[in-house]
Amino acid sequence: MSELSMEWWVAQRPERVFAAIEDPFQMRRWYGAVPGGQRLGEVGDADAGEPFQVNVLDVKGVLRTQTGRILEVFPGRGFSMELAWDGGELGSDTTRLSMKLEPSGDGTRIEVRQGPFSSPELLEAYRAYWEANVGRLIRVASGEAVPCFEEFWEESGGYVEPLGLAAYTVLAGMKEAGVPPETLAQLEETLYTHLARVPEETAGVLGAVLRERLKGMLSGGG
Amino acid sequence: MRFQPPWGGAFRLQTYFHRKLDALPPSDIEAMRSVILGSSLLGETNLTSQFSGTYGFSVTFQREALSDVKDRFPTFAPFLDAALLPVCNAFLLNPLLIQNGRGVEAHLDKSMMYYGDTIGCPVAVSVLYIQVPEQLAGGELRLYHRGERVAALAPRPNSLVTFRGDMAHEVIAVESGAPELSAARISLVVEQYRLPEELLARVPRMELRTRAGTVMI
Repeated sequence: MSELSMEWWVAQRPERVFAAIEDPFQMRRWYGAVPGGQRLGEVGDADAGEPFQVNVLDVKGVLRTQTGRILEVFPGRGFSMELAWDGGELGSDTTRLSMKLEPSGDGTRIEVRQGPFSSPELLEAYRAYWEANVGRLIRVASGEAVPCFEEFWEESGGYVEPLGLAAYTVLAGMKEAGVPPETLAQLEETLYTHLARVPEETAGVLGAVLRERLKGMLSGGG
Repeated sequence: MRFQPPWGGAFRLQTYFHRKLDALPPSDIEAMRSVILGSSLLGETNLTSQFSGTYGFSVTFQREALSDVKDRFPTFAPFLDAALLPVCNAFLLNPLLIQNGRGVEAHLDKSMMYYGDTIGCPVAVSVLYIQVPEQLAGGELRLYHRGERVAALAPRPNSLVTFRGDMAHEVIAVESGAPELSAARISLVVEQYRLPEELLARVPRMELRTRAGTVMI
């Protein structure tokens, strides 16, 4: 049995860091995803102390679920919770975690303690997990727009069919790359105008090509 | 299927909302106000915790039941005619009444998830402002895209706002001007969804809900 203890420092006040924890729209930008993976979403009302589930895709594209429950919230100073995964690198141990925020110089010291763990390997897997998660928390608290699967997923919901989603990923990518709004708007109109002229049969074939290519890439082939 | 413009053509990637002033004849707005305030369905909200302290009721319906909804709420028909997007096939209609000291916390409209966890955001949300007290302070609708505020819309009577369904939004607390329900900030809201057949099948053809539960029609 062992316990994990980690510390970070961020040049933001504890209130600002806590806001990134408390606000669900900031929290989803940093909390949950395993290293190399993506957080898909959360089910349940964590604020009310009810059990919640965070669904993530791991680095191999396997769906993993974290089940957790907030035990205590210390406004502006942190929280404690219990959590467990449904297997994978982070095992299935149920552990307790506390995250404390303390003023330190011109910023905040963030302390994470978690345990007990049934093996050193599990402890090290969680060390990597919190490095990734708190790393993102620090970026969010510092005002960075950390890319968030859920935000892009929701926006992409406006688009339908493979050609629409292909257009979305190109346009969203260009927007993220800093393409000027007027250039993006012109490109968008060009794409929509011409893609609408693709015959239905051809659109079907191109959609099938896109689906199969993506399947190949996601399964490591191609 | 051929390429289809996003959001049914209603928005572009960098367009987050539309607002139409003087959307409907004033007599229609006054009729809607009377029907909402006089409705036996009106009570504390049945929506999510972010709506706590507000009043309303909700009507879920599939497009094929639109005529039934208009029969049940004929006064709302002009709003539905003006607001519903042709590409959408499922809707959640709700009056929203906000008094002094109340607002709506930031949220994404995902009311249809009541019928299925995988039903996500609507394509669009339309809001018709039915009553905006002259002395209203607060009550502004704020829209957010990826954490950035992209609009702050003071309610204007008889204006129709339609915003993208993927936008987080909130209504800032009403500070003053709406001391009682009859003087509340009143809007009529419709969430508009485009669901695939398998998810549409989970949505009732037409269902009225209040805080007390489902109302028999």
